Amino acid sequence: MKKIIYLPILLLLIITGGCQKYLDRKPLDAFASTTFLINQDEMDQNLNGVYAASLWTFPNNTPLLFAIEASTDIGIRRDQNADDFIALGEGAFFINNALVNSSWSQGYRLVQRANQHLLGIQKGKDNVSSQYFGRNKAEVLVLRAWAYFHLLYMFGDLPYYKTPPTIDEVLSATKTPVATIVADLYKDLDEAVAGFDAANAQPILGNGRVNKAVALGLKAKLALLIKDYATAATATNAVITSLNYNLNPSYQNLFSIAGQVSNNGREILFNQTYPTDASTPENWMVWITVPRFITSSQSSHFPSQALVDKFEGKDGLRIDASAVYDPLTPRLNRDNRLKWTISMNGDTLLYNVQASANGNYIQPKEKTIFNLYSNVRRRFNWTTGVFDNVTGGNTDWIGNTGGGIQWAVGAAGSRGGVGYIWRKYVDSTQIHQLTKTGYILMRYADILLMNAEAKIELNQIDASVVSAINLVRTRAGQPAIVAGSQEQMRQIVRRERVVEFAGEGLRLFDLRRWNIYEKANSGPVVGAAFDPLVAPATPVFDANDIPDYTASINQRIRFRNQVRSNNNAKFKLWPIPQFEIDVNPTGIKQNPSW
Amino acid sequence: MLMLLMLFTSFMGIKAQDMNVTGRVTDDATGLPVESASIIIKGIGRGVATNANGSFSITVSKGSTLAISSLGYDKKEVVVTEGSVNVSLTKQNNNLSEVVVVGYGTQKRANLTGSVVQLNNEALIKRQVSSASQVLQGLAPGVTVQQQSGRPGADGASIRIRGEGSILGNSNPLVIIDGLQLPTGTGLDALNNLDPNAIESVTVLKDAASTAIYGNRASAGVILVKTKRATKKGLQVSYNNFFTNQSFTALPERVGAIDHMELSNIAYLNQFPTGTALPFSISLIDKYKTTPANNFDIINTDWEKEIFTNNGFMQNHNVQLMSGGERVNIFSSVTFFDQQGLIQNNSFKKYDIRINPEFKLSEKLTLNGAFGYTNNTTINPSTGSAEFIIRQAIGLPAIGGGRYGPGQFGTAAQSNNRNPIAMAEATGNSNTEGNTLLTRVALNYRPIKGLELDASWGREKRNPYTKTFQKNADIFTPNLVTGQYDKTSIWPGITRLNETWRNDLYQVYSGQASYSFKVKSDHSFKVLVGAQQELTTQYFFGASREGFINPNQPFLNLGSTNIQNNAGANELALVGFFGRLNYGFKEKYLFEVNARRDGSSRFSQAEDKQWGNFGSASAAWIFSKEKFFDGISKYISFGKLRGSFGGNGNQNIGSNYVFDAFYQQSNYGAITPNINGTNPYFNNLNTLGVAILQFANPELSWETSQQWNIGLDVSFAKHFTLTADVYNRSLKNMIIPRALPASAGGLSDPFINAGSMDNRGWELALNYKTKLSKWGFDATFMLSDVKNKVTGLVAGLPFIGGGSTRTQPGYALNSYYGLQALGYFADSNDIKASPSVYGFGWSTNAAVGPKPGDLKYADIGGVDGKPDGKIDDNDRTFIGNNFPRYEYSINLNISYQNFDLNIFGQGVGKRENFLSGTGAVPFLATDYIPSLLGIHKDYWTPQNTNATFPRLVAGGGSYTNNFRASNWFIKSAAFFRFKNVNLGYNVPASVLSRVKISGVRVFVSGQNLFTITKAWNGFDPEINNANGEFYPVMRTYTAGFNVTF
Repeated sequence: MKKIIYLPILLLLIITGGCQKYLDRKPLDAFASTTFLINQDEMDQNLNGVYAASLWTFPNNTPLLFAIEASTDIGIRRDQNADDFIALGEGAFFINNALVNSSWSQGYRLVQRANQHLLGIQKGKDNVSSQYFGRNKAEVLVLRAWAYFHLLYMFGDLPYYKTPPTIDEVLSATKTPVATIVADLYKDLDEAVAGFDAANAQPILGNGRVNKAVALGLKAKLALLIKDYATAATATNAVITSLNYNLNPSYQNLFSIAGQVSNNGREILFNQTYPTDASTPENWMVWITVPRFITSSQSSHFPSQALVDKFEGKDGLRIDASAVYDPLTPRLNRDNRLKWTISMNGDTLLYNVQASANGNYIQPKEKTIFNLYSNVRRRFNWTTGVFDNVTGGNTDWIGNTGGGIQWAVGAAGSRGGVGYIWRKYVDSTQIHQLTKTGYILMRYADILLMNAEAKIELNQIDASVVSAINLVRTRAGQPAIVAGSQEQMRQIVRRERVVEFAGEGLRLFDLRRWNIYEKANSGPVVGAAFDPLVAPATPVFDANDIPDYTASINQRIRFRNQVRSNNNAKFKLWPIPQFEIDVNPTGIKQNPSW
Repeated sequence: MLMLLMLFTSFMGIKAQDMNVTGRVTDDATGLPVESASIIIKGIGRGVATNANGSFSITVSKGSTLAISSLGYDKKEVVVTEGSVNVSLTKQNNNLSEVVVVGYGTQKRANLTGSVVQLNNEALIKRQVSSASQVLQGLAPGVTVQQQSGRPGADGASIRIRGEGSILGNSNPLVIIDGLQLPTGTGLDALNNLDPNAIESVTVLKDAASTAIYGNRASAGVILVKTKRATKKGLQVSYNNFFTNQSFTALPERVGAIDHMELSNIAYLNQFPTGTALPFSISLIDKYKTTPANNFDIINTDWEKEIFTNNGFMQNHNVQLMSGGERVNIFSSVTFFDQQGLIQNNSFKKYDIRINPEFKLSEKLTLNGAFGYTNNTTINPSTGSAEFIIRQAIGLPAIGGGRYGPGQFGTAAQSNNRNPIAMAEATGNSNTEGNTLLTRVALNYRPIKGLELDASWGREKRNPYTKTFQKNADIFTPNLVTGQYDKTSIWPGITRLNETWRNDLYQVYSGQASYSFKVKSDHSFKVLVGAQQELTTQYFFGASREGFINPNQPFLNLGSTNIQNNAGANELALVGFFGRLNYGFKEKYLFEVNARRDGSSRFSQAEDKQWGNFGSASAAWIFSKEKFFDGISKYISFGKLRGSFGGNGNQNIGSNYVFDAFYQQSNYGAITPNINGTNPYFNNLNTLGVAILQFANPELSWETSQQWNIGLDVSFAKHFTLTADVYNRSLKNMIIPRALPASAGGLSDPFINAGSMDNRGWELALNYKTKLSKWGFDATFMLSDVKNKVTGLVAGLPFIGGGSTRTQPGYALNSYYGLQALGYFADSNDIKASPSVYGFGWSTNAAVGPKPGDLKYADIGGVDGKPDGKIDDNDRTFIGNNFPRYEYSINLNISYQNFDLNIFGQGVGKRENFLSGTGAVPFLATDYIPSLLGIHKDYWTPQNTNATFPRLVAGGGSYTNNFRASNWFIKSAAFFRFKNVNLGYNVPASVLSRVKISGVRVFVSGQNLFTITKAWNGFDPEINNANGEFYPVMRTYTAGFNVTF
């Protein structure tokens, strides 16, 4: 009998012996963390996954940094939702504003992917060449610093993670001061630069990846944020003296897909790219700016008068001083970048529209003259080759009362912004809502102007400062400047940045570090003349070129009666998303004034 | 045991001596023959057994006494005086000697120490239902069986044993069919695949004492199903069928075209009193009032009538063959089942084959098999679920064009032309063919008395294949000029074929040894040890295409656009060791200890989280066997007190790799690229990437459940038996997803062990059984209650959930959470004097703010918890839950001669249900342009201030404060339902003997015949959350017969 009892015991032993192995199961249709990232192919694919998290959008496929322009003095977003976006410029929005939350979460998603990658690739470090490893790591270090840079200027002090946090670490996080984070990111970017150098990485030109120049440019941005001008000057100088980069001779080519592919002068350093071999996603920056009288349009983002008025006259002088500026036809005799950035009354619009049936006016392009002042559309007849006057359907004229929305001085709301349309990135070789042009994240002109700015702040105003500014100005056809006082030079470089980069997502960063956000965002949001025959008074500008429209307020289109409040401490920083504080009230404190 | 007895008796040599006696043993209640009854000559010990006809023949000396006994019957003794003896046996009132199936073995009922209910075949075949799970309703106290849908192929009931067992994880009981433990996800499917005719017994293990031996799988209780075996010699054939007419139990009443238009106008004027144009002109309404509907310019579509055009016919055919021999016994059962839904393209068909062979390889070695193959086909409309189609039938306005002619559908007054009739009838269907093969082979070796060794291998293989084809229906519009119907559109506009195929394989190996022995006759022991391992692997792939130019050729290669495919796989391994010790002293004091050690691949091996230990201890005292009881034993014939305590685990959390931060590929979606996308677009080309998308938690481990149980079993006053139980089932470390802030990186939330909750309850079952000459009477009353209460969540997490439900310590799981309505605002002064509602106070603007007839809420909280003069989310509170309380049932079996009648009623004493969606909100425009229901006609007006619903507003109202979650829309869903009436007639044997048929029973039955409830009119009280999207449960009328050859 006893012998028989051994039988089940033996059976138990056999099963037990194999147990641990039997119970060790890993994902079958995904890659287990313990066995993945051990060779170059795997590291490449995960690096791609990190890049994917750098494609920030809001809402839908609109590049995030473009959306953010509407929170500054140069942009407007038409939105019915009072707790969403409209109030951004007023600094009066709720804590859980969708754009703010989305910016925060997209930034941290990139941080998280980068941290996971940096941890994961350690497993395979010995299986790949040190050059490859260093270069792979360098790209991720840059991307992580990219995320932190944006979070820093938006939100200030942050929970700072350099490895993937555990649940407990997330729930007990504290904020690290901006300066500490920046100092730490310097080291990352230096390591990235060394990694690119060791790999002898050739400049990668605007194809969606980062390179050494981006690492240096980003370091300069971080340095400017904490007013470490010497570091900013050194970093940008390294890009300039590498002689690898130059400006594209054609400003407008930067914003078309053909121009980006050829990337003349290698001006585009870092680009948010879109696939031409897949139907989605597209870059909606164009679609959401096409005025509503164009077929299949969805306009919701608009430039402001404050932006328009920053463009000089062709004589190189601000409009209040320019001899060639005509207040009744403000579109003429201006810095060329005005017409490449903004369309206004009288400009000829050309869009490629998606239309199943081609008619006289759509083949499939639609060409029309922007008419703000009557319900007559000047539409180009492709059959006859002349412009026809087509009455009706001009939804964006100021007399339109459709849907209870009226253009008026101080009206409750306007459908078409304040009389201006974004023109940048419009590329009539592509159907407007299917635009695949990349959204530029960093370009050489920014390096030049950051270099100039850093040196001006250091009061090292030498020939290179003047040359850097003039390279940018003369490419656009503006007269060269000459060296002046630190204050004069500061004003010049700041105005140069806004007209050069309008719509490219740099304005919020600029306003915050120049500490002029409250000033820039004050007063009613105004636009073009309400009466085409009455030229509004030219605004008065301050030392930061911030216009004051008090004198012309009743002659201009106004945006929803929106008044951006002066001296609102909420402009200093965006609010930390409430849920961060709810789950960790002791560790994460809300930003001041929220 | 019977088999052995039969074998034993058949080998006995019989000397020709004295007289030969023949006779027949029958059941005194039914008159049916009692087979295998033993006939023993008293004092000699020799005996025979009855055959299938209950007949026997034995040689005895005159004047001997024959002792006649059969399992479950009272013993009877007869003195032989002549050559023919007919004996009728009386069924025992208690089933104490009955053998009950328990975990990894069997036990005599009298010796059970845990809480176990066993239902035998005769109880299960009283109701003719489409899914076997339904028949368990009301038969076992503490087992909550709820049928939530009447949709063919999806009308199985949910089963909860002693309350809800988990927040996120599995609460379904472990289902074991013929010893094969089924995977959690498919257990109830496997049960539903069975024909109740082929089931010998269903045992429900309720307390931890009886379930602990199943460890990690059994925290939600266990259902043990035993299918039939061949027990008789020779061949026996039976055929069972039924034919059923189905109709729905409840459906909300609609409003007609004129009501719709007039009420739409009232709603519009309530919102826009200065509006320029009414939605429906007075002249149009007048025209409708004077002209009969012509389905052309006067349209009054009764969507319910147009959609419920299928006959709902159901039929079942079951053939059983049993062949018994000395070495080989085979039971086989073949079932064909067909159920039509109430709408078109909505049916379920099943073929099921069971074969249970048993081979006696030697006296000591037996090979047992159980094989089941099920092929079922479920058909549903492809462009929307049956439930969504029904919701539209309830909610669409009558003025929308429905059907103009064959293949000519109206626009349904929808701008997108979506017409539910077209969806049901003309836009293709989704056809799922399920193939399931259950296999179990077991070797049983009994080398010496008392010792049993078992080794078994089982598997379940499932290959569901789904083919969904969507095609276009033609949409027509009346042309008022030509008087014709013009084809104006097609819907849905896209032809699409989608096919998916799965291969799910579950395998289990187990071995066990048990040894029972006695020491000095008073001490009986039984020891069981065993081990098992289980492996589940799942694989699927799917493909779809669009652009099929010929709707009659739905084959993938003919699709041209949007070519997609995908696949996935995962696996799960479980290992368990178990043991049990039973000790009984004088069959009076009974003790049982169970232990189990389980490992699961769902948890981290690196962090040593895979293994868990579970166990239980229980004891029972049969006090009726005590000496002091002798005096009262004629009143109380049996009494047992039971007590148990033990624990289980639950590792079934749905996801197999929560411990690992694995890397996945995830292409960008069409609209929001950056949520989980892993592909960048270098050089403007889509580039493959991978990333970690879930927040892993390697620290995660088991959910545990602990339960104590005290029970009492008493047989008294000759005819009564009573079983009572009190228990508390405590769940701990329940797994929930922990929402993390976005700074964690936007990964899907990690799972953590966080919550605890109690299910405290009691159960009562009282049976009365008697027999009066030709009458038989058997009544069972059951009453039970279980109260669920969440007792804790992890620190820093005050509650979980959102919307209208919340899980918070101190309240039931998923309690309703909302505002407390006080009634309606009487007038503008009332509004001015009341707190603002979500920022809206009194306004003269009709479109803004509360108006008289809107709901007025209680200001009970604010930001700091105190009333703050504002009604907002801070004023929400717990307003009920929909756990059923005080479940009861009455089961009557009455027989008279050859007639038998079963009446079964079942009810719930207390339950709340929250009406929402299309059910609660008139003109609720969620995904179609809606109408309102008949119940909404009782709306507030200055003359009707006691209305059920607030004043009407259009489109649900841009001002929707009335329809925020509040107790106003909570109503009692308590009910009592005549679940089943079944009348049968057994054709007398005397009639049948001539045609070589041994039994015929014909029957008629009805299910859900009527219901007493205060629930919302038109909404079935058994269905949770009546939001208007449901498939009603069925009222059925059935006829059928059983024949045994």
